[in-house]
Amino acid sequence: MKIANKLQNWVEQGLISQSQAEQILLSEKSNHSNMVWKWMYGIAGLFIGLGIILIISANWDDIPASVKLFGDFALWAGVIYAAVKNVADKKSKVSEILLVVSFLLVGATIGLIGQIFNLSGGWQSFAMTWSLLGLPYVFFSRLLSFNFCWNILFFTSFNFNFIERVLNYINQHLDGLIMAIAVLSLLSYAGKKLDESANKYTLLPKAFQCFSMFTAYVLVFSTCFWYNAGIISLMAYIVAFLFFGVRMFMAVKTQDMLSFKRNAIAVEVYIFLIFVSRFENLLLSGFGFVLAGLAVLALIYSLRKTSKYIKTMEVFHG
Amino acid sequence: MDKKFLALLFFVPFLALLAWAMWLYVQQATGQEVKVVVTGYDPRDLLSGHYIQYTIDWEKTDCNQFADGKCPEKEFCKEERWGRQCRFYIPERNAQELNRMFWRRNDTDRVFEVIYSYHKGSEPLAKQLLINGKDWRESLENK
Repeated sequence: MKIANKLQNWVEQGLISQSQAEQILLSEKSNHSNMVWKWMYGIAGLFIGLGIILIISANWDDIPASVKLFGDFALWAGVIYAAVKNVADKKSKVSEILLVVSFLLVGATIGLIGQIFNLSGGWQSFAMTWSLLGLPYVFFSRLLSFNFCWNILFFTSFNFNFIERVLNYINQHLDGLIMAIAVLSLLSYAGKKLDESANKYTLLPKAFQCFSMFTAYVLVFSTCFWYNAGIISLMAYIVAFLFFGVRMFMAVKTQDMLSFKRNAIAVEVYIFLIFVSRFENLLLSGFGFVLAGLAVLALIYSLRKTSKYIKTMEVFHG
Repeated sequence: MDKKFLALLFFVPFLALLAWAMWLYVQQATGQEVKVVVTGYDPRDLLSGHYIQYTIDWEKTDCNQFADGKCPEKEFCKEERWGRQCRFYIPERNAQELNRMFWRRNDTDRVFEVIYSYHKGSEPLAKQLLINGKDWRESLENK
């Protein structure tokens, strides 16, 4: 067990005593076994819940519209009531589940109303209504993934024609790519600044920061496939590497090892995608990738010997 | 965090959707009933999921049902690239059969119509799908 090895190391370093290590190990084993029971209850609950959903689905067409609506609103009211109680009592795990379910019920209710009254709205109006009405539940959630998904839902409700035109422009013009990356980076920075003051109330600014940066990474990775050949594709690669370089520099400056590692992996994946998209041949791509990896190792070796920034990394890496 | 404030905040979306559902119900129940003739917009895929998607054939629809004898074309259905697209919910188990009947409508002289609940200025709500003047379920049973 990892924890047992760590505890043994700490005992050998004199950080904790042997009896303390044994107590910690006992406590971890107890937590682990409690978790197993909780998971088993959870699995049983999941089976029962899924079974109920399937039974309702099988008879869906035979259920009158009024019963469907009443059942949906009654269920939602119950979930909201439980969410209010748990959020107010600060029971974090249960309240997170209830907030997510409440949010999903917003979408389900809108869909149900649309189905019963044969409404003609498309995805954009559905997504916009869902994201706006679901905002109170997202606001109080401390789950970054949930807040991130809300951002995706909200931004998909924007005009697709406009987004398509923007992407077509970026696809053909390098200045469009640079501008888009710059704008997204600025938005991410704005989100980070807002998060510093708002974090104790809501994770929405942090999720917006993550979403903006994620979109920037998607654009950067798309450069492997968008620009067909010639000088423009070479310039696009340089822009992409500059982006990764700046991100890694900022990670070293803020001593964020995790960000540095993530960007280092992203660079490796990017190099791999370049070879795959250029050569369209796995064998050649494989050789190219090995050569690129060796080049990166050589670069790291030379940088370790000469760069003060890598030495700074060694200091905080310990 | 104050429970009353939380309850108020969390019930706002609930009340908004409840009010919307009730308003739609009243609109559907109290609107003027008008009958329009429908046709498909995409011969390759009329059905999308559990909805039958169609456009309205205004040339074959009786515009005397409306005020001034003019068909309010722009008030019906959502504008898409391929024209104004409307929807009617169809249970999945009947979708394929209905599709076949629709494609053979010219050979079998079947007329597809939809009854809407119409209020001037509001989005009309589809109430019933008719095949040769009868409810679609009745037509499927008597086919």
